[in-house]
Amino acid sequence: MALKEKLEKLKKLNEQNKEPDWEIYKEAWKNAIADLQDTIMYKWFDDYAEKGLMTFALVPTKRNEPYIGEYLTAVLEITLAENKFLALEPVSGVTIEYDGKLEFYMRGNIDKKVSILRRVINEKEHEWIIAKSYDSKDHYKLDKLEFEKLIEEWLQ
Amino acid sequence: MVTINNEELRETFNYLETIDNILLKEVRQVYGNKSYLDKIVPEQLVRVYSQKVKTAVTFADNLTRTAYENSIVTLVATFERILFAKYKTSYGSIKSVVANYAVKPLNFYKSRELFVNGNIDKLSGIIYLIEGHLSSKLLEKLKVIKDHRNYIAHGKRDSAPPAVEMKLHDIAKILDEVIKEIES
Repeated sequence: MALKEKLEKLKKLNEQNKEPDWEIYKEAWKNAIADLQDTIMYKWFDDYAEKGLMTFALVPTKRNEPYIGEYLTAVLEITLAENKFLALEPVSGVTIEYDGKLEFYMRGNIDKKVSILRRVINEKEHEWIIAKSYDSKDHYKLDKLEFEKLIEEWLQ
Repeated sequence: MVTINNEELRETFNYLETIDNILLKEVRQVYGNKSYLDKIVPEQLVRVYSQKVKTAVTFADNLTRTAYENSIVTLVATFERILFAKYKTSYGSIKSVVANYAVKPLNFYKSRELFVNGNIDKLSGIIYLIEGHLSSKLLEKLKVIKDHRNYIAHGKRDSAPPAVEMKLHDIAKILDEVIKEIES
């Protein structure tokens, strides 16, 4: 390995071991939550809302967490007919295995709950994972189809 | 159906699972009829959370979440009690073996005493002690449970939660496997 490559590798290792700037991290986490909520409301489920099959509400909530401290965010409440409520609730900006976690559940049905996890790919990109259980085989990339499938399952 | 071999752990798990079962049934009733909440809450909370469906089911969700978190702390506490009892017993045997057969047992004696009776008073100490005796997969799961327990017990202040919460029966099963591994 040439010296340049070795130095680059060392620099990369150093960057990986460096403590993140938690203020920047917090902002990124808050933006990621807002982006996901917007995607759900205005992109994925826009049609359902227009037809009056779903209504959305963002309920402000204050969180105080290890590492990132206090911040304001919102719980997305989705109301369906017949008093059925779905909630997408931010839980933690830092988790043991991922870079943030929300819980998506049907109110009043604790067995109908999944984790929505953020995985940071690089400084500008992240992806969302839907985790139905602790087993990594039950972790899928979150998209409109998976989200719809899940709600469909819960409504059976 | 989960089989828990350790008697003490099984007994605790049975109680917790029964509480969980009662809650599940009661919460389902609330979901169908918000006024049902008034039948299960203490007197001073009657009509406090039952006026709107959403408030009633949110209360029920928080109730279930609190019960789940308490169950984790209780299960881990039982696990710790079982393990510490085992290590204290082992320590007793080792102490007499060392005293009878070692030439200069003092240093070992002291460190061992400190090790068992002094520093190791938490689950993290137990994990340190059994590291290398468990498969890496089992140890990893035990660490996740320990971190989750600490996250709850320390007021969700100073550590991160697990990405995905394990089911109560999975936690009991893992703790039981650890006990089995230590006993074998």
